[in-house]
Amino acid sequence: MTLKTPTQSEFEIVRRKFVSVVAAVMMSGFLALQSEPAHALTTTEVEALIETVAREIRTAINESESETEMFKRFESVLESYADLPIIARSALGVEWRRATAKQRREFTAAFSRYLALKYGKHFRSFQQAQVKIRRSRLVKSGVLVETVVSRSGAPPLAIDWQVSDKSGETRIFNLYIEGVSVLSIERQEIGLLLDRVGGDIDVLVAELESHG
Amino acid sequence: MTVFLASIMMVSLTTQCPADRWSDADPFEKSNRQTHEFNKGFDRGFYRPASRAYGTIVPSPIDVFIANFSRNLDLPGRAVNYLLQADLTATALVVGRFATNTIIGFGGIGDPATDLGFPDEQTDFGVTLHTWGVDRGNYLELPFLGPRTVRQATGMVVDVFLDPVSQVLPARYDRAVFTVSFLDLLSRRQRSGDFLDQMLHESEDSYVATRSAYFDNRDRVLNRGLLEDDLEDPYAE
Repeated sequence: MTLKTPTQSEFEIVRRKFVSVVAAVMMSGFLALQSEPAHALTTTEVEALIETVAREIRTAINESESETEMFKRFESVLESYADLPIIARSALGVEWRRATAKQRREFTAAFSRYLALKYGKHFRSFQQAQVKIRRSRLVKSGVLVETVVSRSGAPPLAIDWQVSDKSGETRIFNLYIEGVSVLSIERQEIGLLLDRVGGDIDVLVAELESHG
Repeated sequence: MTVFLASIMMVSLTTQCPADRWSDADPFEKSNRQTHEFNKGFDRGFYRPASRAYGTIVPSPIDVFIANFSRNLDLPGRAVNYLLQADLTATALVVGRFATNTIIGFGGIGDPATDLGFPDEQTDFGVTLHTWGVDRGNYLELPFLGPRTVRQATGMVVDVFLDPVSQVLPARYDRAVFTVSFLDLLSRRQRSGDFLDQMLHESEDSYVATRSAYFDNRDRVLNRGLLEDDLEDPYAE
């Protein structure tokens, strides 16, 4: 076996290849940085979050001694996992801009309780429900997780969850019940309520509080 | 018949799905609103109380049997529609679901297919018409039945004729099948499976809320999931 010493031109080829590989790696790294946000939310991470939330709601439904207790537990699930400030802001729509800091704070608090009561009311019939994750995908606004809620003897309910980390924490900011966006239902609802009270945000807050 | 099916499948393979977003036009709004009030009254006065009565009279396991049996009978019609939409995978899955529930699920009163992971998704001749490129038409609110588009309402009529169950079953069973689906309807209301409807009825303007929810819901059925462009993005506002 003879050892062949590389010629000058062979060195040149290797060097060029090395340079181009390094350039390609740097380029792709740069492109990856460009196309992905600083902390990339992963579907696995979000699916785990949805599973936790589903489990906690299930506990709230099955282990609460009273309706009041269930609502309380549900409210704390919302506080821990939902981005309530952005949900409230989105529900108030353009009116958010003219609201004072105090009004924004009060509206967010009243709206959160109203959400817990309004949706919690229907939870009784979900006592034996199973939540199954079907698939999840990365979208512009974060991660979309498709789940199917099944109960014996009832048609399955498709619930899609929207999750984002744009608030600094990974939180749920919208649900689609059979394709119907809760944010959009509430935006419409709050808009109509606000019209009824003559556009007065303080009266709107009082109205929302009296819903409970 | 084979030639007919083959040509239909050719058509559906070559037709592009049109982007049919609903424009805000609602030319039947006036009469729709009247029907909507009628439907709400019917719900309050009959549907809801009847379903409550059903809930108290019928014991839970029987109720589940009835619901499963009724929903199993919907499957052959769904399979025909998936075939007409030239979706062989979905057709096979529905046939598999029907076979599983009919054979292992004791004629359909059990639902082992769900535990085995068979999907249970809506489709109908309205969806088939959509895949063929037919426009959805105006919005209608039908008495007793609720929101539809002209296309979906037409589809419902066609579905009656396409349904293999009604073709195969002797006429003397018609009444039994009707009774079972009627009981299933009461059962759904009682389990608040239609809790969305309930919520919408309590809304400030329940007509508008019902209409917009209908289109969102129907779009998800037509597109087999949510489209990325339609998703909410409050952080971007």
